Amino acid sequence: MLHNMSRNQEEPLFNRVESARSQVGLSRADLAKLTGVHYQTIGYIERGEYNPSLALALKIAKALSVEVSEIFSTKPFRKESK
Amino acid sequence: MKKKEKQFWPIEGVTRNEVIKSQNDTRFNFLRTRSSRRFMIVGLSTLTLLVALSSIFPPKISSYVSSLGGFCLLAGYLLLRTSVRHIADSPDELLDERQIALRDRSYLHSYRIIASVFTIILIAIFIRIDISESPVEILDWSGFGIWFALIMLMAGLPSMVVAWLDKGEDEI
Repeated sequence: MLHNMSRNQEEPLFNRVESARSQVGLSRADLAKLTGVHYQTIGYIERGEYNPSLALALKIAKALSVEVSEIFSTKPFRKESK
Repeated sequence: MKKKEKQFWPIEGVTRNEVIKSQNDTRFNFLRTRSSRRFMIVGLSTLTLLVALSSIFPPKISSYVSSLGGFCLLAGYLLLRTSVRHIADSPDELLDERQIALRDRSYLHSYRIIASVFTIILIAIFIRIDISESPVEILDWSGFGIWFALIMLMAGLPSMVVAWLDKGEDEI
Protein backbone atom coordinates (compact mmCIF):
# COMPACT_ATOMS: atom_id res chain seq x y z
CA MET A 1 0.00 0.00 0.00
CA LEU A 2 1.33 3.43 -0.91
CA HIS A 3 1.55 6.07 1.75
CA ASN A 4 0.68 9.66 1.01
CA MET A 5 4.03 11.47 1.00
CA SER A 6 2.71 14.93 0.14
CA ARG A 7 4.07 17.63 2.42
CA ASN A 8 0.72 19.37 2.17
CA GLN A 9 -0.83 16.56 4.12
CA GLU A 10 1.65 16.74 6.99
CA GLU A 11 0.37 16.64 10.53
CA PRO A 12 0.36 19.87 12.47
CA LEU A 13 3.30 20.37 14.80
CA PHE A 14 2.62 21.91 18.18
CA ASN A 15 5.24 23.77 20.14
CA ARG A 16 5.82 25.72 23.29
CA VAL A 17 8.95 27.52 22.25
CA GLU A 18 7.57 30.89 23.36
CA SER A 19 6.94 29.82 26.97
CA ALA A 20 10.27 27.96 27.18
CA ARG A 21 12.03 31.03 25.79
CA SER A 22 10.33 33.32 28.28
CA GLN A 23 11.30 30.99 31.14
CA VAL A 24 14.99 31.34 30.34
CA GLY A 25 14.61 35.07 29.74
CA LEU A 26 15.64 35.16 26.10
CA SER A 27 14.23 37.49 23.49
CA ARG A 28 13.38 36.30 19.98
CA ALA A 29 16.47 38.07 18.72
CA ASP A 30 18.64 36.28 21.32
CA LEU A 31 17.24 32.88 20.43
CA ALA A 32 17.61 33.67 16.73
CA LYS A 33 21.25 34.56 17.28
CA LEU A 34 21.89 31.35 19.24
CA THR A 35 20.29 29.18 16.57
CA GLY A 36 21.60 31.06 13.54
CA VAL A 37 18.27 32.06 12.02
CA HIS A 38 16.45 35.33 11.46
CA TYR A 39 14.33 36.55 14.38
CA GLN A 40 11.27 36.53 12.14
CA THR A 41 11.72 32.77 11.71
CA ILE A 42 11.50 32.29 15.49
CA GLY A 43 8.24 34.27 15.42
CA TYR A 44 6.85 32.02 12.70
CA ILE A 45 7.82 28.89 14.64
CA GLU A 46 6.27 30.18 17.87
CA ARG A 47 3.01 30.92 16.09
CA GLY A 48 3.01 27.45 14.52
CA GLU A 49 3.17 28.92 11.03
CA TYR A 50 6.45 27.28 10.16
CA ASN A 51 7.62 23.80 11.11
CA PRO A 52 11.38 23.80 11.61
CA SER A 53 13.68 21.08 10.31
CA LEU A 54 14.89 18.50 12.83
CA ALA A 55 18.30 20.18 12.91
CA LEU A 56 16.77 23.56 13.78
CA ALA A 57 14.40 22.02 16.35
CA LEU A 58 17.41 20.40 18.04
CA LYS A 59 19.32 23.70 17.98
CA ILE A 60 16.36 25.51 19.58
CA ALA A 61 16.03 22.82 22.25
CA LYS A 62 19.75 23.05 22.99
CA ALA A 63 19.62 26.85 23.22
CA LEU A 64 16.71 26.62 25.65
CA SER A 65 18.36 23.75 27.62
CA VAL A 66 15.42 21.40 27.18
CA GLU A 67 14.73 18.16 25.35
CA VAL A 68 13.26 18.59 21.88
CA SER A 69 10.20 16.55 22.92
CA GLU A 70 9.51 19.09 25.67
CA ILE A 71 8.95 21.88 23.19
CA PHE A 72 7.78 20.14 20.01
CA SER A 73 5.00 17.58 19.71
CA THR A 74 2.55 16.25 17.17
CA LYS A 75 -0.13 16.40 19.88
CA PRO A 76 -1.31 19.59 21.60
CA PHE A 77 0.43 20.40 24.87
CA ARG A 78 -1.59 20.59 28.05
CA LYS A 79 -2.06 24.14 29.26
CA GLU A 80 0.53 25.03 31.85
CA SER A 81 -0.75 25.97 35.31
CA LYS A 82 0.47 29.36 36.45
CA MET B 1 44.72 43.55 9.12
CA LYS B 2 43.54 41.80 5.98
CA LYS B 3 40.67 43.58 4.31
CA LYS B 4 37.56 41.41 3.82
CA GLU B 5 36.95 40.56 0.20
CA LYS B 6 33.84 41.97 -1.31
CA GLN B 7 31.72 39.01 -2.32
CA PHE B 8 29.30 39.62 -5.17
CA TRP B 9 26.78 37.28 -6.75
CA PRO B 10 26.27 38.57 -10.31
CA ILE B 11 23.10 36.61 -11.08
CA GLU B 12 21.38 37.71 -7.89
CA GLY B 13 22.84 41.21 -8.14
CA VAL B 14 23.71 41.51 -4.46
CA THR B 15 26.84 41.70 -2.35
CA ARG B 16 27.38 39.72 0.85
CA ASN B 17 27.49 42.87 2.98
CA GLU B 18 24.36 44.24 1.38
CA VAL B 19 22.38 41.13 2.37
CA ILE B 20 23.81 40.84 5.88
CA LYS B 21 23.11 44.53 6.50
CA SER B 22 19.60 44.15 5.15
CA GLN B 23 18.84 41.12 7.37
CA ASN B 24 19.48 43.16 10.53
CA ASP B 25 18.20 46.49 9.29
CA THR B 26 15.51 48.28 11.28
CA ARG B 27 15.59 51.68 9.52
CA PHE B 28 13.14 50.68 6.82
CA ASN B 29 10.70 48.74 8.98
CA PHE B 30 7.88 50.97 7.75
CA LEU B 31 8.34 49.27 4.37
CA ARG B 32 8.01 45.83 5.94
CA THR B 33 4.42 46.01 7.15
CA ARG B 34 1.81 43.97 5.31
CA SER B 35 -0.01 47.08 4.06
CA SER B 36 3.22 48.67 2.74
CA ARG B 37 4.14 45.48 0.92
CA ARG B 38 0.69 45.09 -0.62
CA PHE B 39 0.72 48.76 -1.66
CA MET B 40 4.12 48.34 -3.35
CA ILE B 41 2.99 45.18 -5.16
CA VAL B 42 -0.15 46.84 -6.52
CA GLY B 43 1.82 49.99 -7.41
CA LEU B 44 4.58 48.09 -9.19
CA SER B 45 2.11 45.91 -11.09
CA THR B 46 0.18 48.98 -12.25
CA LEU B 47 3.40 50.79 -13.25
CA THR B 48 4.66 47.73 -15.14
CA LEU B 49 1.43 47.58 -17.09
CA LEU B 50 1.49 51.32 -17.73
CA VAL B 51 5.10 51.27 -18.98
CA ALA B 52 4.42 48.18 -21.10
CA LEU B 53 1.45 49.87 -22.76
CA SER B 54 3.10 53.31 -23.04
CA SER B 55 3.43 52.97 -26.81
CA ILE B 56 -0.33 53.16 -27.25
CA PHE B 57 -0.30 56.79 -26.07
CA PRO B 58 0.50 59.70 -28.40
CA PRO B 59 4.33 59.97 -28.94
CA LYS B 60 4.97 62.86 -26.53
CA ILE B 61 2.89 61.38 -23.69
CA SER B 62 4.34 57.96 -24.45
CA SER B 63 7.90 59.17 -23.89
CA TYR B 64 6.92 60.81 -20.59
CA VAL B 65 5.06 57.70 -19.43
CA SER B 66 7.88 55.33 -20.36
CA SER B 67 10.70 57.46 -18.90
CA LEU B 68 8.96 58.63 -15.72
CA GLY B 69 7.19 55.30 -15.24
CA GLY B 70 10.44 53.46 -15.90
CA PHE B 71 12.26 55.52 -13.27
CA CYS B 72 9.46 54.94 -10.71
CA LEU B 73 9.50 51.24 -11.56
CA LEU B 74 13.23 51.03 -10.91
CA ALA B 75 12.92 52.96 -7.62
CA GLY B 76 9.96 50.81 -6.54
CA TYR B 77 11.88 47.64 -7.34
CA LEU B 78 14.79 48.76 -5.13
CA LEU B 79 12.40 49.64 -2.29
CA LEU B 80 10.66 46.27 -2.59
CA ARG B 81 13.99 44.45 -2.40
CA THR B 82 14.74 46.36 0.79
CA SER B 83 11.27 45.54 2.12
CA VAL B 84 11.81 41.79 1.76
CA ARG B 85 15.40 41.98 3.00
CA HIS B 86 16.79 40.78 -0.36
CA ILE B 87 15.40 37.28 0.33
CA ALA B 88 14.49 36.69 -3.31
CA ASP B 89 17.96 37.68 -4.51
CA SER B 90 20.18 36.07 -1.89
CA PRO B 91 22.18 32.86 -2.17
CA ASP B 92 21.56 29.95 0.24
CA GLU B 93 24.52 30.70 2.50
CA LEU B 94 23.06 34.02 3.63
CA LEU B 95 19.54 32.81 4.38
CA ASP B 96 18.01 30.54 7.01
CA GLU B 97 15.92 27.48 6.16
CA ARG B 98 12.54 29.29 6.25
CA GLN B 99 13.85 32.07 4.04
CA ILE B 100 15.29 29.53 1.58
CA ALA B 101 11.92 27.73 1.44
CA LEU B 102 10.15 31.06 0.94
CA ARG B 103 12.56 32.13 -1.80
CA ASP B 104 12.23 28.79 -3.59
CA ARG B 105 8.43 28.92 -3.43
CA SER B 106 8.48 32.47 -4.77
CA TYR B 107 10.53 31.37 -7.78
CA LEU B 108 8.03 28.59 -8.52
CA HIS B 109 5.14 31.08 -8.54
CA SER B 110 7.21 33.62 -10.48
CA TYR B 111 8.04 31.05 -13.14
CA ARG B 112 4.37 30.24 -13.58
CA ILE B 113 3.41 33.92 -13.83
CA ILE B 114 6.24 34.73 -16.26
CA ALA B 115 5.39 31.68 -18.37
CA SER B 116 1.77 32.84 -18.57
CA VAL B 117 2.76 36.40 -19.48
CA PHE B 118 5.12 35.23 -22.22
CA THR B 119 2.53 32.82 -23.57
CA ILE B 120 0.03 35.66 -23.86
CA ILE B 121 2.63 37.91 -25.54
CA LEU B 122 3.65 35.19 -27.98
CA ILE B 123 0.03 34.47 -28.86
CA ALA B 124 -0.53 38.22 -29.37
CA ILE B 125 2.53 38.43 -31.66
CA PHE B 126 1.41 35.40 -33.67
CA ILE B 127 -2.09 36.82 -34.07
CA ARG B 128 -0.63 40.14 -35.17
CA ILE B 129 1.69 38.48 -37.67
CA ASP B 130 -1.26 36.54 -38.97
CA ILE B 131 -3.39 39.66 -39.40
CA SER B 132 -0.81 42.08 -40.79
CA GLU B 133 1.56 39.58 -42.38
CA SER B 134 4.29 42.08 -41.63
CA PRO B 135 6.61 41.10 -38.80
CA VAL B 136 8.36 44.48 -39.09
CA GLU B 137 5.38 46.18 -37.50
CA ILE B 138 5.98 44.17 -34.36
CA LEU B 139 9.05 46.29 -33.75
CA ASP B 140 6.86 49.42 -33.67
CA TRP B 141 4.31 47.75 -31.48
CA SER B 142 6.92 46.52 -29.02
CA GLY B 143 8.83 49.67 -28.27
CA PHE B 144 11.17 50.47 -25.43
CA GLY B 145 8.38 50.44 -22.85
CA ILE B 146 7.33 46.84 -23.25
CA TRP B 147 10.90 45.51 -23.21
CA PHE B 148 11.79 47.55 -20.14
CA ALA B 149 8.58 46.46 -18.40
CA LEU B 150 9.30 42.82 -19.20
CA ILE B 151 12.88 43.05 -17.93
CA MET B 152 11.68 44.73 -14.72
CA LEU B 153 8.94 42.12 -14.35
CA MET B 154 11.46 39.29 -14.63
CA ALA B 155 13.82 40.99 -12.16
CA GLY B 156 11.21 42.10 -9.67
CA LEU B 157 8.63 39.35 -9.70
CA PRO B 158 10.37 37.02 -7.21
CA SER B 159 10.60 39.89 -4.69
CA MET B 160 6.94 40.75 -5.35
CA VAL B 161 5.91 37.16 -4.66
CA VAL B 162 8.04 37.03 -1.49
CA ALA B 163 6.38 40.26 -0.34
CA TRP B 164 2.97 38.73 -1.03
CA LEU B 165 3.67 35.39 0.68
CA ASP B 166 5.62 36.67 3.67
CA LYS B 167 3.65 38.11 6.51
CA GLY B 168 4.33 41.74 7.26
CA GLU B 169 6.86 42.09 10.05
CA ASP B 170 4.33 44.07 12.06
CA GLU B 171 2.31 40.86 12.43
CA ILE B 172 5.12 38.69 13.82
